[in-house]
Amino acid sequence: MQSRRRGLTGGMLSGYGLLLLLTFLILFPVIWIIAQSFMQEAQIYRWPINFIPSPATFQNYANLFTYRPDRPDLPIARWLFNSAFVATSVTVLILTVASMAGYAFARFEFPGKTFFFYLFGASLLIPSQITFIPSFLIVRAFGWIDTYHALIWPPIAGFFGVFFLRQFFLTIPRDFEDAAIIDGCSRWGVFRHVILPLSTSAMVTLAIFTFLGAWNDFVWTLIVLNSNEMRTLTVGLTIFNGEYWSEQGIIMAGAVFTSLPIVIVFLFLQKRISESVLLAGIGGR
Amino acid sequence: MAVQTDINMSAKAQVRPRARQRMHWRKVMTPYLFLLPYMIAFLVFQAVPFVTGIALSFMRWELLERSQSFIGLQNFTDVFADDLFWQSFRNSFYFAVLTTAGVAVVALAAALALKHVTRGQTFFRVVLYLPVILSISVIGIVWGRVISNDGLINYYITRLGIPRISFLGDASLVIPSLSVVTVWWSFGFPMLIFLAALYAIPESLYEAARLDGAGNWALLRFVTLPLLRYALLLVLVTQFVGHMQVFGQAYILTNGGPGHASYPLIMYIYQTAWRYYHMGYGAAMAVLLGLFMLVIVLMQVRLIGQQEEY
Repeated sequence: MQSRRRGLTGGMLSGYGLLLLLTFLILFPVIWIIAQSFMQEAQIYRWPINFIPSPATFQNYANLFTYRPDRPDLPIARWLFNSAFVATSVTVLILTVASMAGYAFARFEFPGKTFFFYLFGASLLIPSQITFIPSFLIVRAFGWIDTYHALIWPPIAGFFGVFFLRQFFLTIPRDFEDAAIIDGCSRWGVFRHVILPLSTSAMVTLAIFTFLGAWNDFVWTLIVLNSNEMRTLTVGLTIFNGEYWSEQGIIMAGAVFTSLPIVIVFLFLQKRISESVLLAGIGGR
Repeated sequence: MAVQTDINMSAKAQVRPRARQRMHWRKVMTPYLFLLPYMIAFLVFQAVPFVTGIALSFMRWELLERSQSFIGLQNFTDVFADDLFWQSFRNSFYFAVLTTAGVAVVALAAALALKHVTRGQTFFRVVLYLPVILSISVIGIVWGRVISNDGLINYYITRLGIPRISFLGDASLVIPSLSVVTVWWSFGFPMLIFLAALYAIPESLYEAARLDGAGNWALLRFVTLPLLRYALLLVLVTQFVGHMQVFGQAYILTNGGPGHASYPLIMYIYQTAWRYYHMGYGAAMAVLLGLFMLVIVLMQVRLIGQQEEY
């Protein structure tokens, strides 16, 4: 409002200056890496550094998917599947479990409610490191080491999703539910057919953050997985990068290829992400 | 709530007593049923590990041995006498302080800039958030090439006639370098939090302050920043706790080196437990780290919460 009246203000100019600088600092290395993924190995190492692949080649991307006996195995399609499967499962499970628990806290009065809420909430203050070693021993006792189970089930215990959805459910007017209950709908029916459909935006937001978190998880994945074909993209690529740094082209192509799906999803949903942070009032008050 | 269920009950008051009892029982149980799946997960993957973790820290527990024994405070006295523990702790702390400060400053500046621009806000917001969604492995690959000795930055430095800088090989530069990488990676989300908080400040406050003759800096200092207190608290706490647990950046880019100059505490715990199988000793370090972070968080909450109310 202010700025429109005054035209281009000093604040706006310095704002654009800063944003352009940050944009440059972010895009410059990213573009360089993308360019390198289309270069032949010799050009990647050439000095002075250059940005235009000549000749441009798709060989690095093709190499990602071809097995070569002279190089450690790089089952990138399998890693992609592992990452997608694990992240999707974690997301579905967390949305299910957290929405049910969040609903209980938002709409019911029951003995122990406050106690449980603070007990669960206190877990947000406990750094996951304290529980890493014992969690590992539990997962090992279940025989889950090197299986999907080890990655899929433990994250459900996180309280953030429950808290986040409870906060959202509290903003839904009760009238909708009361009407449904008078019509003879069970609480489960209300939850399924009234609350959940009204909560799509919050659920999508939670889904995005959960999915990203699971996709990018590093330490826990490193601890509980040990065979090459069980790895997720995040861990697999890192280990490949560490063990086989002499083929930079493939590594660059791997970095670009593995980021692509998540960047595309992000671009589709970016409006939702920032809107929900704005609306959820995470930052407000 | 109570009123609504009462109406509900009286409407069905004529139902047979047995059925009514059953209905009552169902009503009592319903919330617990909604809560049950989460409770089980919490019990198995939070409560039990938490208690076991503390118990482990008082035990000699080697993964590969059959017998484990209670050794009292032995692990803790060993940890306190362990130079590597202190060094890795200092490394993590130094890293966390630098990175938290860096993230807070960049995120706040970016949010203020975003609020002031009228055109292209979406574009800038998307680009500035982009690094957040990249995985640590990609960050490691990209920045490994950017700050290596023959990387992008050193290329431009040498073209200016300055000798190359060994960002990751110099013991005094390695943690600040990792910190810069991490700020690049993670300021996007705090930026959104600040932006949300900025939009929550009523425009009328600025107008009133301007009428009183406040300049831009005064507006920032006396209107914006005090009202951003809770957002700032949230960002500082979550960032500090997160960065105190730094692992991936060091694991990928430096492997803790040179020497132990960038060896973080989590890497020490990780190697103690999963390379040398000293589960008890690792658990003791984890408990100390947890306690330390709890104290820091409570201190931050008190410090920022204490300032005058509006």
